[in-house]
Amino acid sequence: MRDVMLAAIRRNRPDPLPHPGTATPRAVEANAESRFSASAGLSMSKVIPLGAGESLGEVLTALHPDALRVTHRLTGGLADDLASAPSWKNVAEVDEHTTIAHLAEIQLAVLPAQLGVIENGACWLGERDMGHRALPFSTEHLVMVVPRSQLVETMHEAYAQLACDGAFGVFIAGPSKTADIEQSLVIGAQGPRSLAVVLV
Amino acid sequence: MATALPHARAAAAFVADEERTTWHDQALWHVREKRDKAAHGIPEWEALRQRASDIKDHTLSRLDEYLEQFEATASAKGIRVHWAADAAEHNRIVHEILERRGVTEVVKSKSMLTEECHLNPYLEARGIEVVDTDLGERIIQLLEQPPSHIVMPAIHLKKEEIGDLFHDKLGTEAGASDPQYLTEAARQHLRERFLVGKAAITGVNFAVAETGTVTVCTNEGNADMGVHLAEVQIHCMGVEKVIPRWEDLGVFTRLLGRSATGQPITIYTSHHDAPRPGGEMHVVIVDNGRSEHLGREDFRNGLKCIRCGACMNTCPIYRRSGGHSYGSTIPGPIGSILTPGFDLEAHHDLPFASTLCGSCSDVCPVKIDIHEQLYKWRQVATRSGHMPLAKRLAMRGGDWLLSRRTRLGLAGAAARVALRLLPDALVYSPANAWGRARELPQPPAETFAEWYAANRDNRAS
Repeated sequence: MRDVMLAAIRRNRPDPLPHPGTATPRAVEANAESRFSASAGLSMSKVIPLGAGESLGEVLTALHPDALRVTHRLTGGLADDLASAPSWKNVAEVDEHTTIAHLAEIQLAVLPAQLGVIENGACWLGERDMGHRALPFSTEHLVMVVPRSQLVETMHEAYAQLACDGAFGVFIAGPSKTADIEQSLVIGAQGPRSLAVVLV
Repeated sequence: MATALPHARAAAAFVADEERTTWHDQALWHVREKRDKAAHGIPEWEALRQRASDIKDHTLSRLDEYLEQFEATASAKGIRVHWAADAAEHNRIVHEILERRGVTEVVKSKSMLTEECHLNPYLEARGIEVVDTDLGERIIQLLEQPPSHIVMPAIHLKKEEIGDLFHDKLGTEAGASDPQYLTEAARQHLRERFLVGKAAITGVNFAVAETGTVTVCTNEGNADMGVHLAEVQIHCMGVEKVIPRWEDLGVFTRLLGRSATGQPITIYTSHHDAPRPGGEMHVVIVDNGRSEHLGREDFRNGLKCIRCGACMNTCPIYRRSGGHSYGSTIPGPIGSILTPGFDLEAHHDLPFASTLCGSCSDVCPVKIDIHEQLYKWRQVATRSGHMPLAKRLAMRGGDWLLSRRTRLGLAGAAARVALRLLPDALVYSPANAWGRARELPQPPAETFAEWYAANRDNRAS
């Protein structure tokens, strides 16, 4: 079937037309953080810039004061910061072997994002950042932590920086939503009910 | 009305409920307005459309090469690539994959291709339950209706109707119609199905040849909830979904959300590069008439479509007749130029469901010449003898009347006299189809020709 299909396409395709080429990349312009916040807000995502001296653990506890089943995949200084927060003493470990039952229990996941896109407020999570591919979707609440230096203007620059690394990656712009019932916006359709992006 | 074309008949039934038609019209126009706001927010919007159009034109001119490249790059990462010449083969392939794993229930996120192939009834007849997980799709699945819009499948339904449906099928409170409450009920109901974790099917928004990546865009996250918990994931695509390069995703992801619903991007833009550890990942590439359509010089541009639905949201006919009036998997303007290619006899009426206003072409993110194709399809349809007799006679009569000035002059004079003298009951008789919802103009005291003849020597100097 493959060869028959390809032969038919070869027979019927129009004369060659050129690819337009790569779009010219844009450098990051002024007020990147506030513009990123504004875009993210359109998708009901909350952006929290972390000030110098502020503790990530305190920010997250203020954001989600109720005791939740939590997990994170931060490393280095940010992980140490979290380790010192009281509500982060009991952290679930999530990786590709985590069972569906355990995934279903996670209520808050804090994941490191590689970059943020100013034109739409979306952040990129690679497979290594999530542990299990379902986690960014199955968790009740999601927080992504993005370095300020990794904000780019548009999707052109984002794709230029990202490599397809042979696994899974996703741009996430906000909490899960739908307007399928009489065009009324409902947040928290099937995936997370909330999304916060912390800029570090 | 017996001589009216199928769409016209179905549309007449739809507009009989004037209030509901106005509601439907306004709901869709509102989405058009959101699209405009998003598009105007990008100064380079028109250049972006042109770039997307050029990428698609280029891709179609080397479609076989890009499909082969996709197969190679995808396979190298453990993705199993299948080729289906038609709907029957697509269904057979999907069924085989599921049967081999002993799957009895599969979750499916939105895929117009699987709708086109009628996959659900095929699987159900063979003992596999299909749960459509996009909220709008689940609603119409429970109602046993086809989708009426490719992006907003339940746009034709009111929340009270959905409330009644959920009360019946999901046990929600009788009379409850709050969208938040109903969506929460659906969330819990569908979550149970995701957690079964056996098999998931999705559509494909873009398949990148350079990297062998399957890109799926959703707002709900249902495609990902299904796929990442399942042992087997299957992605179904038409041959035209392939795009050349990873960087091309930048162009299309900027256009898709804005064109479809006015969002700067869909909430989730997922890139499936390889099976998950211990899992199986399949891609089924489907022809089903597309390679033949590629050979139609006047109509091949329809294959550039990225299924955003912007043409439907803007079309005055679609807005005021609803997707079900078209009787085709893909309704609206794009459906009216693609579907006649697959079956002209069954769908010869669709190119006539249009005023040729051209709004569709204006909003199409990949610059398909939709309204021009509608016009060309009308000629194809007429030449192949599919026009009802009454319309053929009317067209021939009109041709005769309009081809001589004297005939037109006499007919015009007679019409003006009739309008002046005849009582309304006769002018607006059932035979006057034009006058059914329109007031005819007041006849002028003299025609322009008469005025000119009288005044031609009074030119201003």
